[in-house]
Amino acid sequence: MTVPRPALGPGVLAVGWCAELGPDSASVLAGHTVRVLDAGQSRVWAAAHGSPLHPEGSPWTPSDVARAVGQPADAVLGELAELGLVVGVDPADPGPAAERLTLLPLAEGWGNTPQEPTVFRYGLGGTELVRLPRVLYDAVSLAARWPDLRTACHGLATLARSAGVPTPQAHDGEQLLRWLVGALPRLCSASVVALHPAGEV
Amino acid sequence: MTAPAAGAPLVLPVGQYLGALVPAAGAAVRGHRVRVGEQVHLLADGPEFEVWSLAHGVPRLAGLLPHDSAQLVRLARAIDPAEVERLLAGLAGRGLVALVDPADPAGFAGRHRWYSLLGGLGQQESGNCGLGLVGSPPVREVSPRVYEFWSLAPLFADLSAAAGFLAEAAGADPDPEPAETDPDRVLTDVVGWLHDLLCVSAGWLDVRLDAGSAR
Repeated sequence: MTVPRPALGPGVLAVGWCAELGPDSASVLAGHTVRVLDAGQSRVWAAAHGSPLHPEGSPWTPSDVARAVGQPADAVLGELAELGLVVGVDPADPGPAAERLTLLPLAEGWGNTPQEPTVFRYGLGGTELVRLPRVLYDAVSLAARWPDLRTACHGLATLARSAGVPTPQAHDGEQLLRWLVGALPRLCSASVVALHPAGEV
Repeated sequence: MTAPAAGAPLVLPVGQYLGALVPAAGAAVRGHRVRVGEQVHLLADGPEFEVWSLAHGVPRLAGLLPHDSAQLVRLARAIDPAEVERLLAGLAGRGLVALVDPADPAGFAGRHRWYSLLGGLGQQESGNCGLGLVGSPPVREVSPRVYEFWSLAPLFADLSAAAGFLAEAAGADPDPEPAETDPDRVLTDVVGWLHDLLCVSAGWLDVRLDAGSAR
């Protein structure tokens, strides 16, 4: 009997980190597991990361993935979901997905500068990859200290309240989580972070 | 690679760099944040941060010369050698660098683990393997063995376990190289590879999970 897969969405998030990219395959490490993807799967997995230009807070949908690869992607997204390399997420209510995920940075955290003290940057070599407010920068940099993203955002909110951080969104764990998850299509597609299963990094 | 100077320990930086911290527009850099396990340290801007940065190695030398304390003193030309030694001792005391006897790395390797940064770009025309951002040229090419370590070491709780796995995997080859199947020799190799990766931010060293995790 075939059990229908639950629909992914409204947004999708790619899970895992590209350990090896070959001409016809990719090895993806997600937490404690290495998966080898064929060319079609690796294209869809790459497209599931999002886009650096995607508006923050708006879900990166299966339709966006299909548009990025130029063909229907639902079937492959379903395969990737079964492998644990794609998860569905609602950026307006990201808690359930966030409890199963954590993240690690993939680029260099550069911090801020005297010229732009409110802008914190991630980059690589001489190339700036993303500019973030401090609250999001710290969330990206430190989330892996906690067991999962939801717990991380609540822990960071507690720290922000006790430190008197002057950003109201940083004081509420759920609000911070929505902000962070809403930024993931931009952060993942720019190779600034990779998502992993919670408890496996 | 030539052997380290007699008595000079390898210098390995520990921690995830979180960048410079400037408190306000036009103000001086207050310091540089580095996370080790659950602790975030602030390194003073200037010689202390410079020594920690130089502990990562430099791309033109990594893999060619051992990155020991003598080499670091040579690289930190603007800092008095005695000051470099003092700063290194202070950083080591805070767990921000490890001073490792290359002939006996087991203690260090059992207390530290590896996190990879960047992405794996696979085999290049040179026969080596590329590390960098997917969609961009590699920022560094490393040997297939170094690449294997880089891609798999994040799976393991510490460097010893990673080296043990690599040795076991090499033993499963049809025609194994004896040096690649001996866990102790592989561990020595692993420690010798670290600067090849650290010098281009292809990863960072942290304390092993149960030694410094918030969990």
